[in-house]
Amino acid sequence: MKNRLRVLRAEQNWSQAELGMRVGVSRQAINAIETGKYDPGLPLAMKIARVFVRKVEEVFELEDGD
Amino acid sequence: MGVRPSSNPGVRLLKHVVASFVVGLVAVATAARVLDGDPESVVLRVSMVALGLGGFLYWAWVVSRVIEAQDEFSRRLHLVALAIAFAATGLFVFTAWLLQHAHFIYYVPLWTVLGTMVLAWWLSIVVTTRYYAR
Repeated sequence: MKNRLRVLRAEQNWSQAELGMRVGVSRQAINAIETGKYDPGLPLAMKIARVFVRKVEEVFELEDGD
Repeated sequence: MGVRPSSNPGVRLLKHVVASFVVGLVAVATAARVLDGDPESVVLRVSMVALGLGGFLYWAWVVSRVIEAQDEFSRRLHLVALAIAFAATGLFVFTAWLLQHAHFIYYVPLWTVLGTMVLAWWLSIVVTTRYYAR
């Protein structure tokens, strides 16, 4: 699954730790999502989309192999 | 002057793990000490087995609560680490069983198996955390 987390975070000038704090997870979790090593569950994906005031599909996108 | 309780949830959880470990260790050590004396009473032997098991189960329960209290990513790390540790311990037991049947070794103490499991668990947590952190 692809995501636009890094871009959206940069637009807000938020650090990984700050985004993690806003959605209730660790900085390591945000880093793992951004690097594609971890796909978040639906509640976390929705929380992330909500803090960016976006729809989930505007932040996360399925790839062909998913 | 009283000591202020820590407001850091991570520190609180760690304190619970350490406290439950000490309680579990005391329970298991007490049970083992009594059982080593070969008591005749069945009730006492059953009680000591229950005490030892209770100590271990209490520690395991606290650890599971600590893992459950973390965010979903940390829970995933622990699940992956536990799966790796389970596989490594299974491999160890299977290998030991085969070596025993081939008469290369005579006997593997249960404590060695338990130690291997704990070591594999710790190593897999380290490896899993490093993998996801890169």
